[in-house]
Amino acid sequence: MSAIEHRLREVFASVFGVDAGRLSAGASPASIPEWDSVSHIQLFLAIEAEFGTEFDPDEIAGLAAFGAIQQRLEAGT
Amino acid sequence: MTGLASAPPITIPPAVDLRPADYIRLARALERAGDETGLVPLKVAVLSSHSLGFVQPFLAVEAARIGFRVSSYVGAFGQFEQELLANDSALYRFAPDALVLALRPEDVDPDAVVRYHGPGGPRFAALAADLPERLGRLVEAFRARSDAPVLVANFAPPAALPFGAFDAHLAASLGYALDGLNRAVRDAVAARANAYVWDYAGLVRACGAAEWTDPRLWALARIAVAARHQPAAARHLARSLAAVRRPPAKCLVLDLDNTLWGGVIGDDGLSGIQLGDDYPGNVFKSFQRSVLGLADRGILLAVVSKNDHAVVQQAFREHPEMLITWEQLAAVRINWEPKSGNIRAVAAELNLGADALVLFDDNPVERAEVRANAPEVGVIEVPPQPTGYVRALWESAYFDQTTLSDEDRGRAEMYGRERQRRALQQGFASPEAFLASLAMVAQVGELDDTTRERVAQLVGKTNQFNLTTRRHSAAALAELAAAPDAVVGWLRLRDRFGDQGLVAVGILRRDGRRAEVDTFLMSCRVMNRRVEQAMMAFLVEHARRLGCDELAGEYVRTARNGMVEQLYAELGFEAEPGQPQRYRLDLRRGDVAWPPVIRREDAEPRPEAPSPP
Repeated sequence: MSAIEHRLREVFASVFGVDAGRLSAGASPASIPEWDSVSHIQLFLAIEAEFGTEFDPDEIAGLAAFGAIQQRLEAGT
Repeated sequence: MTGLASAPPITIPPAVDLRPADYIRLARALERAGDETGLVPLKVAVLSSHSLGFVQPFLAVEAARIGFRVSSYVGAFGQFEQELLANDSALYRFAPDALVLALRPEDVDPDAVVRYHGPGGPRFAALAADLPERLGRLVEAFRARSDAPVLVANFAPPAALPFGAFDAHLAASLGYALDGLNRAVRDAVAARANAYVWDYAGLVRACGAAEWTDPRLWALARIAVAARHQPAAARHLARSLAAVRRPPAKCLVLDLDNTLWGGVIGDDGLSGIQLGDDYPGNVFKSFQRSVLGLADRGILLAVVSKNDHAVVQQAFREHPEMLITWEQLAAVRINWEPKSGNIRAVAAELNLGADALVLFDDNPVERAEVRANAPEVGVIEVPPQPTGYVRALWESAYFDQTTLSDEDRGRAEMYGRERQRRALQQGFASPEAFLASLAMVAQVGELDDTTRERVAQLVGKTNQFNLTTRRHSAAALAELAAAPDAVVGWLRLRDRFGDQGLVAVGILRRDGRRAEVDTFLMSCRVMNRRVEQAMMAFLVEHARRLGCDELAGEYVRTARNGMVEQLYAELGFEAEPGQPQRYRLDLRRGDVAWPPVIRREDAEPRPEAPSPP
């Protein structure tokens, strides 16, 4: 597991109250009931603080799965 | 340790060490721990014109830091009127302990703000004419269904004012109009019982309007507060909620060396300490000035220091740069005993609960000793750099108060005079001779517009000398005073040392031939001076005026009012057989006489008892 993936799992665990070890790349609002429109924004703000990065509004609106967010972080800006 | 919680307490790290994910995790842990946190539960409802759902985890954590376990309900944005006006709305089902109303003019009508110099101008004027009273009516709608306090947000300037850099120079500008609107909001809110302005504008100003809103969050989710300011927004809200839910601390207990001056006076001597107009002495002088700023609005000052008494007294009396005077100190403990015990002794001397005292001490070891051995005392976390003292003092939420009375303004002096009185007392043979020498004059009267605020303040905060601890609001008091079957009496005291202000309140309600003491309270600073006897004599007179032949009363025990448990008995009431803590005075046979050591002045003509038929 990459360091980025590990840290991202921890953020997901904090924001949604889920087990960091049981997140799959496909984890999405469909599989995590706590992932609603409010916590979606909370998730991205938490990721921005954790990784010192900033997402475009289009990314915040469009990225909605663990794996996709991980890819975006690994690719850099 | 007094806590019985089995789970380890949840410690809240300093805000600078917390990221958003930490807040969310901590908020969840607090919610899970529930009552085991030992925090005071507080249900907060938030209704707003913009999306405030983000605030929940931040509010839970920042409120926990100052003693509350907040659970919150945030209504859908823009739905507040429906929520407030429907009896069965989610708001009322939540049964909040406090309500926050946050509305922004730009959400009501964006053109009124952004296009202020065009078509928006008249629209803003129409909105400004309507909004304050509309908010006031919303508070009333809530009040009809709940007694909980309401915080109403005032209006922050937008990030960019439509006239640009010289908005503040133009009288016909949006900034100018917003200032006026905020005054109108203040007036409309303050006119309603138990409603307060939440200074959202001040919060935005302090954090910086330019970066207050993150346009991404606004566009995506109608969130008006950028991520970096969300903790500060929650902290400000938590602090405001705390101020309306609990009484402010009453006394600031100060250390001396490296707190009120730089250096150690025992080592460095009077001329060696740092205090003056240049660095580093100016840092301590600024701090003293800020401390006096608190004293100006009624906070008592005390000194507890490990030092030599004579050396310290000389410093206060002779150091030319000392701003705080020896006479302004309500109590002083200078010795080498543990500070926890000294602070409790100060509390006892001032007739205050120790939880009304707050320590400011640069030494972390002393702070830890007080936290461990006198956990009820407030302790301000003092930064290592003295340049941070002033900010630490202001940011501690302990002294936030919602009202300011003349008594508050004169309190520091009053306590200084009390120290003189105590000194005088030692020279008299009997307590009566001492009391007579004080030349006390009491003015008594019934509630009117000039006394309402102070009476409401005493009713709201008096804990110890209080027989029933009924917290009537100012509006409820006015209603009682206007009722033909009730009397809201007050007593103002002065003596040869000065004016003590309005210090006692007694409320009567009549039920047929019987009058009931609804409320009877007194400021502890005039204890043992027969003032309670004078106040009760006033109630007895009014009970007779109302045609009653019996005055009854109850002692309602609280954690704090043990000192008045025997008061009815001491004033000559009989215990009611079979009714614990209830007392009665037969007005046909018994009396409470006005005490001879106090001269009486009546604010209105004295009531006359109806002549017997």
